[in-house]
Amino acid sequence: MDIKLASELPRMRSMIPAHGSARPKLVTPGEIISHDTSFMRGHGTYMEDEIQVASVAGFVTRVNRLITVTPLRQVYQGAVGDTIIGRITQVQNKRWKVDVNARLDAELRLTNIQLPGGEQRRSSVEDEREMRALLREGDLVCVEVQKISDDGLIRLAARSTKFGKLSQGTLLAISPSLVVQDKQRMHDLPCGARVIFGANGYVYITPTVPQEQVSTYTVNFEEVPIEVRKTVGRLRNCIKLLAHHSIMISPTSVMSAYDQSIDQEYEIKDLLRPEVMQDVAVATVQKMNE
Amino acid sequence: MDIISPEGLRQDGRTATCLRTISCRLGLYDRPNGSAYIEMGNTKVLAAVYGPREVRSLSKQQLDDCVIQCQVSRIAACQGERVRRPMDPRTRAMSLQIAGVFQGAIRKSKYPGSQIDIYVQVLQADGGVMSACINASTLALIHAGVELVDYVVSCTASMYKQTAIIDVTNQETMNGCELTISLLPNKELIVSLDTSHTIHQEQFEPVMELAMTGCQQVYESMQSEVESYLRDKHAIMSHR
Repeated sequence: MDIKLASELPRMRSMIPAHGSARPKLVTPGEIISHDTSFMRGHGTYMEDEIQVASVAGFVTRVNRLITVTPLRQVYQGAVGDTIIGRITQVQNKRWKVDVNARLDAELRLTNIQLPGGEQRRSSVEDEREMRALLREGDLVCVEVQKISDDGLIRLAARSTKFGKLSQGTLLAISPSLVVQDKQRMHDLPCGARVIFGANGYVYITPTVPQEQVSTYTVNFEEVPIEVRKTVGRLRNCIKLLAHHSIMISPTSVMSAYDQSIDQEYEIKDLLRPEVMQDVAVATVQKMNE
Repeated sequence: MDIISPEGLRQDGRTATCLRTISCRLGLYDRPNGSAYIEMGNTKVLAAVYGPREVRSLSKQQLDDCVIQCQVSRIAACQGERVRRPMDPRTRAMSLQIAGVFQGAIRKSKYPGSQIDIYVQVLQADGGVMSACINASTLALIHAGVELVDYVVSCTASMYKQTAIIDVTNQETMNGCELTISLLPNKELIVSLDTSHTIHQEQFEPVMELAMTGCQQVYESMQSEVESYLRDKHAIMSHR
């Protein structure tokens, strides 16, 4: 058996390409950003005695008069229209509570999902009783952010065939800030797997399913062939290594890492070893920068 | 045995106003939202932060406030004598104190109705455990991206005969008082102050002053670690 200590590899300073002299300013909590009061304070900053101070560690971004500090890791903040992945934590009266990696559990109302059978059917008392038959605790769902209420509670909706319960696959939780903002969140990758990049940092990898079977509230327990399972596993490890090295996660970067790992003939389990992770990550960055 | 030799050096070769070596690291684990490790001399502490997340027990939930919980535990071999239980009344008191310290430092208005959990594990205890725990928790909170008013840094000091000594080891606290102070370094506000023993009124002021200068030094090394971590980990590309 190959046993390794989780010792740290040398840090990769060389990986960061020098983008001229315009490197963003770095601040840590308590540091003064500016004395200028004409700036608006954005996320990650606060005002004290007319001085703008950072409250998280990260790089300062300035858009016109708005100053924000984006931390490397943060819980999901929520934005209307985002496609996200969540896990049901509670079944309540006419609604589900969903863990979406945010500071509060999100809410999915029974009226906001597309009920099985009937396009625009109204939810009946039977549906209320049978809520657990649709979704129960621990189920994974792909949903859309419908609204964010004043107290920060995220309200979800799944009123389309592309949303709904997720069937067999692998969930991977990464930092939300690493997922590339994109209109399209569900991608059928050429390697034969479907990847959903949830805006909340949850990434779900499933075997590709034929269009007519997509999104029902029943789970398909058909056995997945071993080849497909290997692809899913390799993709998962590739995303994991990219996230570990803080490389933005997008279909292109994931596919590029996947191809790199196949080109260099790494086994799936090898991709979890720190030196291989670094190797593939460096190769991916180089390829992406070309 | 003398704590300070006639040459003015302590047992481990430091002068009275010299801190032990501090080394820290961020991001040890994937699963918690934030994690950190700090070594202050031989005192070694791990911290992990979960949250802000939904409050787990409904009785604790407050709609307009953030619940901050802390749990300190020690491993069996963390000090000379085998520790029977990872948690005892003393560590529970420490947990409460750490939670109290961060009540003042976390911007709670940003997280109404949520809960933040801090788990601290003492791997090795050699004086200044409380301050190492606070420093580790601060780093873990920063790593988790929790909004803080400022860093919270902590340092200890003591008095031996007529000399104030900083960052005391276990041995040095045996015959003196251990004063633990934690402050917000950029605002120079004291968040907590704790003495483990009685101290003479006239000696209190110099000891506190010394501990406060120690805090600023701790802050510098913590900040440089956070900055170098960020530079390394900054998301490299913003491509499609």
